[in-house]
Amino acid sequence: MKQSFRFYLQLAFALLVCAFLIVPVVLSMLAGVTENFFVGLSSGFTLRWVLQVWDTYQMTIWRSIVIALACLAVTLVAGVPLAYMLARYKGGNSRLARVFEELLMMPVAVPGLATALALIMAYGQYRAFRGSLLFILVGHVLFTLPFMVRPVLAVMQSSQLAVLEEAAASLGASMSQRFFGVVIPNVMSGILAGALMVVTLSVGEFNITWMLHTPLTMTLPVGLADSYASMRLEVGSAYTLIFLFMIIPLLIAMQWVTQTTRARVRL
Amino acid sequence: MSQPLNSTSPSPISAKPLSIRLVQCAKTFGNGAPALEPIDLEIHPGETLVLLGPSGCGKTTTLRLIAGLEFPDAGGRVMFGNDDVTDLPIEKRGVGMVFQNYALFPNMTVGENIAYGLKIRKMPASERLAKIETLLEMVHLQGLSHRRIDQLSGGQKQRVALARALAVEPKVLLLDEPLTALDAKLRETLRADLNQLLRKLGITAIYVTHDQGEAMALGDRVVVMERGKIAQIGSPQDIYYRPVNAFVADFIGTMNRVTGVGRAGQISFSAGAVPMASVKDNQTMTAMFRPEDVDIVPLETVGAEIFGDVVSTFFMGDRTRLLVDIGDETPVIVETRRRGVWHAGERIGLRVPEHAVMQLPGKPWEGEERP
Repeated sequence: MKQSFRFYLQLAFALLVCAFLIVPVVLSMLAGVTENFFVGLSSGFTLRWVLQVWDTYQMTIWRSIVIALACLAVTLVAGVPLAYMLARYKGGNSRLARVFEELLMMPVAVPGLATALALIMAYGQYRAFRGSLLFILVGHVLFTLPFMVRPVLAVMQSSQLAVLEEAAASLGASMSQRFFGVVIPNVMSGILAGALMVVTLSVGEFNITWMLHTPLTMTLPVGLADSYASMRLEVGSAYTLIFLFMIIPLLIAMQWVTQTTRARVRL
Repeated sequence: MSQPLNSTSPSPISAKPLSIRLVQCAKTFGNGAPALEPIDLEIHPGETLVLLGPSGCGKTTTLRLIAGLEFPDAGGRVMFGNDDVTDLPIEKRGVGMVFQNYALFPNMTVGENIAYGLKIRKMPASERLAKIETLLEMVHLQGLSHRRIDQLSGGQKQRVALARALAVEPKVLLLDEPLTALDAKLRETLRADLNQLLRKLGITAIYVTHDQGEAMALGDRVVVMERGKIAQIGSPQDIYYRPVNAFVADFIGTMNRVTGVGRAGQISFSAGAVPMASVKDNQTMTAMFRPEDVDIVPLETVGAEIFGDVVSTFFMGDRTRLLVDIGDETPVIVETRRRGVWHAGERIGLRVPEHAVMQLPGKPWEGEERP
């Protein structure tokens, strides 16, 4: 009897998850391809709304992709050496390094709106900068940097990287030869995991971007909010559909990388 | 694996062996704890010097000072031949290093690992390939050049690490517990190979270990270290037969000790006596002897014997180890190659030949804990 009670409890939980996680997504996706959602699915399916979104909001999609890639480039160039420094500073057990690592997480903990407001207050008077995509990029880098640093740092700390580097040094390799020839290839799994995370988060970032954007620097998620507020429900849903098609491959890739990383760390 | 090294293969080491000198080298780490008291150490060209001691004794720190992975406190100097290399980092010192955990690059194949240092030195690819083959042959791993590192056994990994270290023709080979991660059987074969290789190459080598068997087998000279100091330097025989203090005596092999009073050229105590010509009458003295030097004798013999009761016996195949209670706190350990069976509780006689009885210089033994 007790067994069956547990079964029903689990079933209820599974149904709850379905109700709140899957049903809304499916409904939203269906709405995007339905002729008239208020009439129902019987009104027929169409790609009209998707094409309308493509015509109206195409630029936000390209912009989001450009920003995500630029954000990836910056977090790679800044984040990987930073992780390396945090891992190696004072033999890797420095309290200062731990504090710095926590500080990096600040823009994730603080509401994005506050971060954005602070950015505007500090640098808003530089009009050209304020109005450019660079301004959005700064906000995204602040938000995504820890997601690059952390996985890379984790791999650096779990592998015997320090001794590998000592071995390379004993063979005559200079600091830069060691970094590019030994460190980077051996933390690749962490870099890959971080990179996918950064791109995914940057593509979906709303809070900071909404505060920082101008009509000329609108990104995909901000465009989504815009369409929800001012367009037919079907258009907003079609827009969501496009967003999902962009983000799902990234999520799958991330899952795959996490698995291969686990296999590699054991080595 | 233990076939003799191929003597026709050209030696990868062409440079003249190097002497190394540490002058007043001390090392204090960030937290203020001294890892190494100021030490002076001279390593002769072409010799294999073993740094031996328990963990935390400073042996690895000493090796890292020589490697250039650590730098001595102010005032210490590291000399390679006539060159002062104290301020040179490891990549400028031309040392070859072998690590306990192999430290092979997992992103490279066996061949790429071996060629890493050659690539850094910009050796042309064709020469590199030839050199990889020579080195693989030297460590008995012919044909494994394209293997991935995770496809190798522990012993193979350490052979690759050795080949990689020797590829750059280092002036000195530094080995940091290279056999510790291997299982016992493999350790023995690799030890024998390593021994042959070091002799053949004639390279100056410094070998860190906590295993006294390894130290004895490989070292031309052994440096026993204790708490950041050098306790004794000498040949393996010196260290084993003539330990300078209680620490060395106890750390190397097993040592029995008995304390008694001098009486007619013997040290005499309640369970019997051991011979020692130099002892003065009525002088309190501690004598030491190795388990393998003790003879088991019939109970009725009269002379310098010890009598005791067998506590337990361990048959070890080639020998039998007996623990014999002679009324002291710690039983006397006896190892005999005689084929006999002894039982717990049995009373036996023991005789220690005079040449096997050791006495520490200085004051009589202060009872110290065995490690």
